[in-house]
Amino acid sequence: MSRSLMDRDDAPASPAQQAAGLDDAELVRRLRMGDAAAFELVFRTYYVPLCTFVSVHTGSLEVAEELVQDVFASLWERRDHLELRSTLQAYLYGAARKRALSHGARTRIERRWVERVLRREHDAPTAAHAPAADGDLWSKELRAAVSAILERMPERRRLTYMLSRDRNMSYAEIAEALGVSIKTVEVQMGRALRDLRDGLAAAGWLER
Amino acid sequence: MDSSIDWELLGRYLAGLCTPEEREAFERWVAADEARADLVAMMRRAWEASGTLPPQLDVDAAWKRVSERVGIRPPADGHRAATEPSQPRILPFRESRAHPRPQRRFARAAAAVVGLAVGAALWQLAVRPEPATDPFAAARTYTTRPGQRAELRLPDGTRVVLSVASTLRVPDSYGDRSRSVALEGEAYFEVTHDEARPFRVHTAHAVATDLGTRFGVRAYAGDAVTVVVREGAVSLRPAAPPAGSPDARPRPDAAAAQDSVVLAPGDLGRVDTTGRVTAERAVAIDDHLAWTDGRLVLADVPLAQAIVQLNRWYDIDIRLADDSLGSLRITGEFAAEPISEVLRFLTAPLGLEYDREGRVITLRPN
Repeated sequence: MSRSLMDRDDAPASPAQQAAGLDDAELVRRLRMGDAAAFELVFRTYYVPLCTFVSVHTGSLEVAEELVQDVFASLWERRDHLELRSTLQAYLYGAARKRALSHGARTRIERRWVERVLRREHDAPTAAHAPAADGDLWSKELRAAVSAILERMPERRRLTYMLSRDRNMSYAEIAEALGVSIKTVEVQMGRALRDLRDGLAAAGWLER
Repeated sequence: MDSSIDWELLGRYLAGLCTPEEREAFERWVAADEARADLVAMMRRAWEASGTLPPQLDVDAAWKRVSERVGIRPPADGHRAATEPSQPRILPFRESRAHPRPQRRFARAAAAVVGLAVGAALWQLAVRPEPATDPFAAARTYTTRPGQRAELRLPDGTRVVLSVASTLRVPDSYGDRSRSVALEGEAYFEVTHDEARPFRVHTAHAVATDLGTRFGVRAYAGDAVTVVVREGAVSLRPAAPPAGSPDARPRPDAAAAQDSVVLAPGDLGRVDTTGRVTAERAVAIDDHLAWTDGRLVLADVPLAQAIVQLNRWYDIDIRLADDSLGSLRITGEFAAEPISEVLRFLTAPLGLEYDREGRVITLRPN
């Protein structure tokens, strides 16, 4: 299994980027030139996902919003020196993570993450999000089982899993965003899936 | 249940990161066995069921705040949103020179000390005058206490991140002909390379010479000196008297001049207390240097060693009720978790329990 397979730098552009026909290089070029429209596009594309991500660290969506706004303000103020190691997405997640860490608000978030997921499940219709078998009891129960398994995972493992699952990030991007090696991402993904398998088996979803 | 599954491959398969060849091979492997097919189908369902809903946020309002703050558009109502400095904070840096001394080079050095938050610990850096008895006599001393880290820049632009409970000495003559510093504890260096003026780190029983690079040195008192290289190359040799380090004492066995070793990226070099030099290739450099961004990574280390590191990291005093516990092995990553959680993490998997009295925590068998 070659390392280069994971080391993609051709991560898919976000829908908004695709709509505007812009790739990372072009966006960065425009940002450097001080193109406010490009900045707004980046902001609108990544604001909500970054807040979600940071709120895992901070446990508070309000604090997360403040920190993410700082990230964007800083991105704009330092646009002259902007250099990407891989993708804009990885850069932004990495910057957001650093904010969250230096904010000192990093706490164990298992409870909060799951509280939020479960609360949302309660409030919002799952149909909008659930795949094929949406809405039915089976799917709902599975979601609850999976949430519970995620709850028990160590933070880094869960974040690795969620970034891959929710953001379709490449392993190289996740590594940059979490400040770990690609090897660590591979290992954490493997462990997350093993945890899922074990958890599902324990809950009777799979034969042991 | 089939236990031969390649979990890392499954992860990339579910995430859509496989190459076409890998995907095909994986699907063939799955199709060969019904139980595998069931497992993978279930894992895919779980994968799909584990998406999180994005929170409901007012993106327009947020954009308005940010764009006003950075001056992209004027505030709608003349009320400017509060601006905050976006640069790293420069934290208080206490200096206590007992007697005045010519400032020379350090007037312009005035090392900026940028704090890296570790838990709720406050930053404090003490600069102490040193008695004039060695080459490092006229030197600045930067000391971090347990639980503190610091970042500084040397006059030539070299960046230093000083880890917990560490002391770095920088002679006033730094950069004149050579660039030598003395370290007790742990530090990470990003050296501005200069052929003419080699950068050297002197420690109790080893000297690391930069050959153009980023590297970490760990040299806590009484311990082996280790060097890990992230970029470039470093030459490592035992300290031979008279070494520049004020900590270096002549060592009869080290005088038997062991060979030095040149370390490349991914290498870990070690000089033990007797001056023996060894090197390991392809180590997990990121784990060894995780402390520079605020994480302590312990990868399968004996408990005895883990508590030494945790004590420095958290400024606590963990002890073992029974020395034999020291050989238990532990793996984990720590940042700024509350102590109670660290203790739970240490004790639960190892079947231990603890008593706590202030800073002193005693681990004992359950």
